[in-house]
Amino acid sequence: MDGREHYTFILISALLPLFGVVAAIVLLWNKLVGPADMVAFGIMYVIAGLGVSTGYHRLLAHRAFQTTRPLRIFFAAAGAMAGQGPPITWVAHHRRHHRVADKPGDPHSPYHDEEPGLKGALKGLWHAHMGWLFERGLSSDPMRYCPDILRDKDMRFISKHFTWFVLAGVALPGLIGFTLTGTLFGAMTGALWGGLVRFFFANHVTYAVNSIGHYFGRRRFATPDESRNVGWLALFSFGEAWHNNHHAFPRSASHGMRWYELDISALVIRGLERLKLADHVIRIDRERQEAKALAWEKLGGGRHARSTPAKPLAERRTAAVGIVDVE
Amino acid sequence: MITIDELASLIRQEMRGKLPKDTQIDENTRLDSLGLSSLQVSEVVFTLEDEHGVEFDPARAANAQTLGDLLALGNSVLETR
Ligand SMILES: [Zn+2]
Ligand SMILES: [Zn+2]
Repeated sequence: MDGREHYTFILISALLPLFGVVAAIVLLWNKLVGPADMVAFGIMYVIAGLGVSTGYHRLLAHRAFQTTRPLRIFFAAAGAMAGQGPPITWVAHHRRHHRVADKPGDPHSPYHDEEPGLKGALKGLWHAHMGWLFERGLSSDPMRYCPDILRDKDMRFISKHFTWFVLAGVALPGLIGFTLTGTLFGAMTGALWGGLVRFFFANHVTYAVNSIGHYFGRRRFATPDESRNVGWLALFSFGEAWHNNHHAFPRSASHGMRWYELDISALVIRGLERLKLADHVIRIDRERQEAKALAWEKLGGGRHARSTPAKPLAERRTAAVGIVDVE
Repeated sequence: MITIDELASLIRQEMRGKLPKDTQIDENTRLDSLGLSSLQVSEVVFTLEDEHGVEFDPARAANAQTLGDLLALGNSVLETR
């Protein structure tokens, strides 16, 4: 899926959940929402959320750990059910984001075309949040950004049949609703809450990491971008909101870098490791953190700070893609 | 040795019916003129890898514009083996 097909998908995936939320509000108003709907919502939120955070992001885009083939497929499939795009497209855009964060070529920077004043700021935030998805010309060549993912037959399969996984993300909560209530109406409201409404909330949390996470919050590391740690988003983003930590150490399996920085995805990875289902887990000890923090302090961080190399990979014709460079 | 026929049949298989029967496919055919998506191109490239047991340099595969480029790339890797 790419080009026009992808654009159509983006439009539908932006509008449909919105209608879903409106429908859900009407049902809520008429007290037609039961505990089964909440269960469907909760289960699907966790599956899709971990799929994006643990799967798409940490496992695929940054190779923060390795796992068994069935689990790799499970996490990628769960990520696909989140409806944010096929794994190959997602990883390509995301690695490009890290490569040139908040600089020209970043697919979703809130400083994308800087205009002064409040209006300019809001425009930038909207672009980083969702606006970038509607950019027709945007494409990050997966052959350059994620040959390792392309080489994986399973990932190609999931990417190719991505739409089916999204539909499964609606059918599954419908099934949960039916199992719990035994009625067709229960199946429908289950699909509504666990499917459409869940798309809406889960995806806006991911988008918020891209918009708010590069705008409002604390910076522990003076990285050459504007990434921020956003504590209040940590729980619902499964730890993704420690975004400044993440830009500082993209490969780290844990985005929370202190004991008090809640990072559910990191806990899941640690759990898998204990069960011997994950290995090669990337950890950054305190010493390395301090050393890097000091080095960056001297350079002075922010989007105007220099990062090397300066140009996005995709624009360098003869670049040999070093995976280490982009993840 | 990868032949143009092998490549062409892979492409036809990947495009499944969307390619008119009488479409000419030879060394000079441009990848973009066939309307292959990036995922389809990679399906072709990595299927060739699997079948011939070689690894292409992805950066160079990404720069390939014609089928001839792709063949040359694959066969040069095969030769150095
Ligand atoms: Zn970021
Ligand atoms: Zn990342």
